[in-house]
Amino acid sequence: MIKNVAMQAYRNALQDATQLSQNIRSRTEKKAPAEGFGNMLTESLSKVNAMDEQKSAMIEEFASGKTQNVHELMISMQKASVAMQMTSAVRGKVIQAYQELMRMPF
Amino acid sequence: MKGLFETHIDLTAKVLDLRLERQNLVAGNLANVDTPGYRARRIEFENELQSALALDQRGKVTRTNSKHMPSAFTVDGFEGKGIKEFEPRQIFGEDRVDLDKEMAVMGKNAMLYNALTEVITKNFSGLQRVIQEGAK
Repeated sequence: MIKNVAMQAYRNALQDATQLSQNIRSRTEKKAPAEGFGNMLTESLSKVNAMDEQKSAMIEEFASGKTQNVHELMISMQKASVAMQMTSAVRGKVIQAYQELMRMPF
Repeated sequence: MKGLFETHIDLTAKVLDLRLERQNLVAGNLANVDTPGYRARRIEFENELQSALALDQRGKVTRTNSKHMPSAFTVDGFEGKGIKEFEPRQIFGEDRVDLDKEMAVMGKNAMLYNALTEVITKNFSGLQRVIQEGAK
C-alpha cells in the first residue's frame, strides 16, 4: 500500500516534469524564428555579389567593343559601388553592435 | 583565388594600350595625307578580343581537364593584329588616306578611351574605399 502511494507520487512528479519540459520546449520553439537576420544578410550579400558580377561582365563587353553602351555601363558601375558602400557600412555597424554587446557587464 | 588586381583592371589596361596604339596609327595616317603612295593603316582587335574573352557566338568554353588548352584570357599573349599582317594592294581611290574617315575613327577612339579611363579610375577608387572601410 505504501509502495503504491509512493509510486503514484513518483509518477505524478514525472508527468509534471515532462509537461513542464514540453511547455518550455514549445515556448522556446515559438521564440526561434524560421528566417532570421542571418538569412537576410546572406541574401543581400549575394545580391551585392550579383551586381558586382554584372558590372564585371559589362566592363568586359565594353572593353572588347561588343557593346558601346556607356550610360548603362556607368549606371551598373555606380549601382555596384553604392551597394558595396552600403554593405561595408552595415558590416561596420554590425561589428560595432557586437563589440558593444561584448562590453556589456552581465 | 583571384588577386587584388586580377579582375578586369588587367583587361582595361590592355584595351587602353590598344586604343592608344590605334590613336597613334590614325595620327600617322593624318600626317601622311599628302604622301604619295601611302596607304592608311589600321589596327583591329575587337573580334579577337571577344573570342579571347569568350564573348562571341561560340560562348564560354570551360576547362574540364588539365590537358585542355587554356582558354582563359591572358594579357601577355594578346595583341591586336593589322600592323604586321598588312597586305599591300592597289585599288585606285580606296588606297589614299580619307581625311573624314580618319577623323571619325579618331573621334570614336578618343571617346572610348575616355570612357575606359573613367572605368579604371572608378575601379581603383572603389578598391581604395573598400580597403579604407575595412581598416576602420
